[in-house]
Amino acid sequence: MAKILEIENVSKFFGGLEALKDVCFDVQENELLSIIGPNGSGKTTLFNLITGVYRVSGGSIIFKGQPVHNEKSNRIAERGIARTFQNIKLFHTLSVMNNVLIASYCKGRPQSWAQIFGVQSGIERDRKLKEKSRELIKFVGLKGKEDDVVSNLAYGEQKKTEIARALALNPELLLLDEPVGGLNPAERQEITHLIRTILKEGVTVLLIEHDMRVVMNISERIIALNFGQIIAEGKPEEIRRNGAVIEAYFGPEMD
Amino acid sequence: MQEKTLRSRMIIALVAILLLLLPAFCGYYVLHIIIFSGINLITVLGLGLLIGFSGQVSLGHAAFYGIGAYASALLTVKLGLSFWIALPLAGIIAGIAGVLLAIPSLKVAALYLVMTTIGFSMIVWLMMLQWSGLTNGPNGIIGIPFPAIGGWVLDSPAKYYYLILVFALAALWLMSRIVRSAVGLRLMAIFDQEEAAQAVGINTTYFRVLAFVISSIFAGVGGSLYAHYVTFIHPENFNIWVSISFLVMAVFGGQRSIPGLTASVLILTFATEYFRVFGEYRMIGYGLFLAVGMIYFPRGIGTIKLASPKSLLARLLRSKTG
Amino acid sequence: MDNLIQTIVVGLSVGGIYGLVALGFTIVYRSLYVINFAQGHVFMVGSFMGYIGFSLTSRYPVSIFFIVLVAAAMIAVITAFLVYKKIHRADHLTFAIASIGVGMIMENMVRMVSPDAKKYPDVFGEKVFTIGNIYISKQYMWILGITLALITLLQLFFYKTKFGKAMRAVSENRDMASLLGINVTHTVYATFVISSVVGAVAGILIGPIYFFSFDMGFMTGLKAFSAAILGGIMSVPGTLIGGFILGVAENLGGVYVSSDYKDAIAFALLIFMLMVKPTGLFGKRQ
Repeated sequence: MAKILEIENVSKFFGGLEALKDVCFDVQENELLSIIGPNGSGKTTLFNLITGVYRVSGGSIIFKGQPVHNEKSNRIAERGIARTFQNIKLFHTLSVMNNVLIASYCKGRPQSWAQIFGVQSGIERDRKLKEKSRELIKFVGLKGKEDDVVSNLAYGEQKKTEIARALALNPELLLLDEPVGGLNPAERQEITHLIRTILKEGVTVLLIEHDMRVVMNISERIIALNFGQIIAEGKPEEIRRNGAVIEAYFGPEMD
Repeated sequence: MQEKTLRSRMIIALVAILLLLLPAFCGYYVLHIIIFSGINLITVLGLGLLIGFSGQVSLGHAAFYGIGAYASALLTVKLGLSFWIALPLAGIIAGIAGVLLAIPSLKVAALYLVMTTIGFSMIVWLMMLQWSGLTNGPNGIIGIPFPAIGGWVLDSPAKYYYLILVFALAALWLMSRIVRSAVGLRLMAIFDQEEAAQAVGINTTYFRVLAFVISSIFAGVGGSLYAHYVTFIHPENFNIWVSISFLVMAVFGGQRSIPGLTASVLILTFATEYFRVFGEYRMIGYGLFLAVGMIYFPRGIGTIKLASPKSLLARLLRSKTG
Repeated sequence: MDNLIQTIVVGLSVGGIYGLVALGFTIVYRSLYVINFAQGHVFMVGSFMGYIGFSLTSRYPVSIFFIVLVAAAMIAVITAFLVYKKIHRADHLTFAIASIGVGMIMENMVRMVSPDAKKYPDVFGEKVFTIGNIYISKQYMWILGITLALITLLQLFFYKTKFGKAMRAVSENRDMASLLGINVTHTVYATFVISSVVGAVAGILIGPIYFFSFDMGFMTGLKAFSAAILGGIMSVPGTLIGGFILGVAENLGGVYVSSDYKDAIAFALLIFMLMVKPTGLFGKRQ
């Protein structure tokens, strides 16, 4: 299987603080790789580096054979990497539809000026993109809520909207940052099911999550971070028994 | 449902007839103010896009307005071009100036953007004042020609009114289309959550600059229409006070409300003109209006729900262009 | 060479004025994170009151000086009570527009009474010192002296007095400060009083050098703001140094480059600094 993402000796410093140090791993096409670790271990920093929010202090990030580290975020999105955010970053004054629609413009080439001047091709394109967005909204289970302003939605619905928005980019690699954080068990089930379906579509998923049941349930591989370094890597059963991981979460006493 | 459509159609027809016949029953002075309202509306629509949709506050719009006015004036007076060529050129030149101001504004935090735009407009104003070779300095430019359609010269308020009506309606239409389009949506996305906007592939730099350019083109066109109406312009027509009044009109219109903006421009233009007789008291009144207005209407009048014919009209305007 | 030094001397004294007005911006911004667009107009009002006071009598200059300051303080309290108190927590734009309104009111009220530019009565006397070929008028010395004295007083106030420390606490974390029992409203009043007094002092000092006119508030305010940004709006000494730099740069530019565009120097510097280092030459990171 091909490697879709290669993290090579990536480091990130913030002033004197070492957030990530010499992190190396690969992501295989269409796998679900989870990144776990205590708070502050560098997980979201890693996502931010991959999506261009931060520049790397050292090392490189290769996506489909091309370096993407230090690229601008919008270019990386165009290349095929989409993400959700740990603390939801929806366009809060806009509707669900518009949140997803705007993302669809990335690959969808909306012909804005044709649309503005009422030229048929522009209006057609807009209609098609709205269709596609509607399907995505239905896919995540929010059918009927297209016109609701996202700030009025329940927390779980907002999370789903973010996923729909990320999918509107037609990504090959999807980064999910704590997608079930703060959700009740029923909602967790729904999201987990959603992720499985996304995988079936051929998308590669990189997951940050604290909920161990979800992680153990759907991951094919897990990487554990602590203090900015990888402390373990392997299949869920291996990680579950790994002493370093247990120590990172629970301290030196054995469970 | 059908009855509602019939009713709104009738109201729209009534309004259209009203607008077309306005010069017949309005005095010279009122017509004069309405023309200024239209000119201001075109300019402030652009500013409204910049402030309300892309979140960039400009206290320097008189610069673009003035650049449009001077460009149009010079092109017609010194180069003998026709108004119909000078106007679009003036818009384009103002648009280029918009790019120039957009560049520093990209690097500057929101609060400081206000000061940057002030600085920019002061520099432009100084150039108008000092670059005598080009602009005639403090003496300004006289003899700016009225527009003409074939043999018909628009040399009276009644005639100019129709020109302004066409342009103002066109500006309203265009701006409504823009804010509802992919451009408008992406601007709002950037304003709401810039980081997420980038994450979904929006080139925020491009769109911020685009917002500046669109707003400066609108202002430039407004400036050109102004110049050919008053036929004499000089640097004092484009000072900081003018920028402030544009900003006030935009802010009082409420964020993202085109009908609110229209109402705001009409009210404030009329107020400014009618109170001109009171000299300094007018200015004091304006100052009070600003200070007190900000205490009680920080989000602008567009957010007030009025149960009046005006708001009904506004709602109709919105549905018509939706 | 003498010309150069003379230009610099003049620049420093004007710069001192800019610095003082700029201090008003700094004090308000540091405490409340808003820009008070009326600061320049307060400077003008102070100058106006000084003009009236010194025209009435040439005796008791010191008393008149302090009376003007007290008047400026009272005006600050009134405007703060009527306007600023209610909106200092609103967003920057709201405050900016409201303070523009206040500035307009001030400018036009003064304009009604005094529409023409006025020559200031001689407050400091005519004495001019000369070092070589360079003229240093007594007024320049006064400006320098009072500026330095003021800034020393302010530093002492903010770092050594209880109230000054309370004000700094409010600017760091308003909610926490009020939880600790600090009366935030008093701090807001004090902020505007201090910035007004400082502006008024500058207004009195500049009268004898140039003149007084009702419309000098806006330009001076804008240039003073440039000075604050140049030196660092969060830093009191930085702001003052910014003022000196601006004054000198402006005068040098006016003499050696172009007198027509002298005013543009302040604005170009402003834009440049905001782009490159908005915290200013001496600013701490916010």
